[in-house]
Amino acid sequence: MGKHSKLIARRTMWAYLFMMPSLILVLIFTVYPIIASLVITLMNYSGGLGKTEFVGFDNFRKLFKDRVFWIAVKNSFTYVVIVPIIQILSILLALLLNRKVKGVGFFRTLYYIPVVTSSVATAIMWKFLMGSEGIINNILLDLGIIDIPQGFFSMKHLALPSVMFVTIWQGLGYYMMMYLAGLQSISPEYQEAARIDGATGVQVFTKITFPLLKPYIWFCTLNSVIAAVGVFDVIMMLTEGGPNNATMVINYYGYVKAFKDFKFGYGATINLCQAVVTTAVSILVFVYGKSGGGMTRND
Amino acid sequence: MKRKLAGFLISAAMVISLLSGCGNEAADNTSAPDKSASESPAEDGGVEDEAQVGESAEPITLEFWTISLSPTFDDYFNARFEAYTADHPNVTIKWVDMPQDAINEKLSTASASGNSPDVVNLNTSQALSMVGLDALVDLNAEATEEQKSIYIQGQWEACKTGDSIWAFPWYGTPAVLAYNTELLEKAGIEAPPSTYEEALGMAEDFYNKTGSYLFMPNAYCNMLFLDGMEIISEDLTEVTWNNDENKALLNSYKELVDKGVLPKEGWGDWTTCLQLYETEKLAMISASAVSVNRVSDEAPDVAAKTEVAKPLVGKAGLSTNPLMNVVVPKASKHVTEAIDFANYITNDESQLLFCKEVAIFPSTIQASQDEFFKSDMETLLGRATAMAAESNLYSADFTIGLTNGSNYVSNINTAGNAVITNDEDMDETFAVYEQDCKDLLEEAAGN
Repeated sequence: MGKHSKLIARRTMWAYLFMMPSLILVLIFTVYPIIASLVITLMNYSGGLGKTEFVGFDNFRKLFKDRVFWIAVKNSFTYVVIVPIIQILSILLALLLNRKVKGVGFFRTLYYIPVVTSSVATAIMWKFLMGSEGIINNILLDLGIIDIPQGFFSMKHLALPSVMFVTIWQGLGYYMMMYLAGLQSISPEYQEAARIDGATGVQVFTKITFPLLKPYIWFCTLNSVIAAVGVFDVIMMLTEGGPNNATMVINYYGYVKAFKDFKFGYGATINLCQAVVTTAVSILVFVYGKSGGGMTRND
Repeated sequence: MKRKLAGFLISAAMVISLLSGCGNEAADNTSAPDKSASESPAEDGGVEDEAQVGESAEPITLEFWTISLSPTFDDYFNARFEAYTADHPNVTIKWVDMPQDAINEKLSTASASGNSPDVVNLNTSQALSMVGLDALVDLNAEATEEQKSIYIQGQWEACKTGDSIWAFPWYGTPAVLAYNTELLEKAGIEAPPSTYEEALGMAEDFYNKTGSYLFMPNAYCNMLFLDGMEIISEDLTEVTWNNDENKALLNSYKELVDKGVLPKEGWGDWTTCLQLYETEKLAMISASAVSVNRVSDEAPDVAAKTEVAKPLVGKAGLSTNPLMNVVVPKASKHVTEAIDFANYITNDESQLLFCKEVAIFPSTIQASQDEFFKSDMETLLGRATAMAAESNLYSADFTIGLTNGSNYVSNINTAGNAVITNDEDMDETFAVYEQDCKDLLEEAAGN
């Protein structure tokens, strides 16, 4: 018994020793910055310039009276609307591409290309396509669908839907691949058995495929919600929060306050609120998952 | 056991190699904050080795940051550094060049790490934002009268707050008017308008005859500045731009935008202006001389029909002249020497030589009157240069002498944009952004 305990202890020690390098990295580059940013929320801190002073909860008081912050919160919640759209489209795409037909690999690659394209290239391309003098406006004008060119990124009522569209376009391939992996992990025997028993295609999907895909749906939905609330790169590249804060979101607002206005304390406060919002929304998804939404497989 | 030990050592080696990339204070060259920083200009340009020390003065290195000037102007700067260090053998110049949008952030990081540069090139609004962080030396207090006296008065005061002046003005890009002669002829216009008011009166008729816009309006706040309208009180404590005269001015543009005879978007945006001009959808652009040269490169057929004239002016009789400046951070370890070098790189000789390299204009009195600027009247660029030299004298870099002035201006532009582009109610929109401006003034007063 004693020898057995010693063996377990030695193995545990080695396990911790192997984990130690990664743990150190996590402590330095994740835990420490989180703690430091919590401290900075209580300070008036401008990086290496200007005076640094403790201001207590002044940043929070200022934040709750900040008109632009509440616009950013509203826009960030609105952005979550893309989650069901992107998930449904990804599942449909995955179903279409989950076939052994010639050339399916080409289509899978094609749909994945936006995922690996840089945000800068994406922004330049969509600005060119959707600008007032762009191809999309020209086509819509020629077809008589619109009378005057539309500023997709410069008109208040169009800007947010337009950047959301770009996010959907860019993320579709990623979730499609996740669902494709999920579909390919489902044993075809279940579906064959169902067909033999007389189930239609729709019934096979709703009674067999969809329930078995739930863990993937839950995981992808959670990821998508976190990404939607924390959206940054498309906003920065396409609209910079404009026009008139129509596309201002919490993450980008925190960046503007910290890195353009040099109010790092205030920026950290904004991003702390974003972390709280993301956590709250994630908890909702978790609760849904635990109550049969896919966190555990339904066998 | 040996396998476990080997595995652990390999993991530890990987972690150590990752951490070794963080924060190296060992050598001068690694203190440059940007990977794209050009160290070769300092190394190639005859900069003296610290071993070659002057007889009595302590050897020092002055770090000089510029915005997007390398490698195009390496030869010019290296020659200037050589000339300076010949007179100051104890000084080594370390030149670091970086993109404009990165410089403020890198300045903050460098100062925080105790490696502040000594002389930094910033535009006026960037410099004023640094003033708000108490990061710059007051040159009005610290520079000598001889050093201060060489600059054109209006440009010397570009970075002024109260009695303090925070930068030596460097080079400017005064506007000229470039116009499409064919389009103007088609509209029956013999000579381009000279004022914005005149252009506004001609805009509808021009569009009806040619199908192109006559001109691109300025951003709303610039419009107010050029017309000498109220923007802020003289003591910088009251928001004054939300008034009936300013609303009437915006309405006069809105009427034409609603008729479709003036562009709805892209006001004051150079990229949009250039794109429309090069596709002959816009007949006139206000641009710097060097920007007019871009038309020659990108649309030679349009350039063949292009002529230049004095820029459009507002009721105040001014045109715009965005300035670049040099500042001395307070965190510099050699403030006196940095001020001396900053004054040297912006003096008459340095600026005139720089202007011979590229179509920019000096901020010093003597250099701006040099015959060089009128020496070429044959080429489009030459004529644009001559025209810009003339407009240099009645141009100004529009800034509000507030540390958060760029945000104040941005609020006014956003209010104007909301009314024009999104058809928002003028009174409500102006009231919202007026309050935002008041909050900014409170913040500035607290600094």
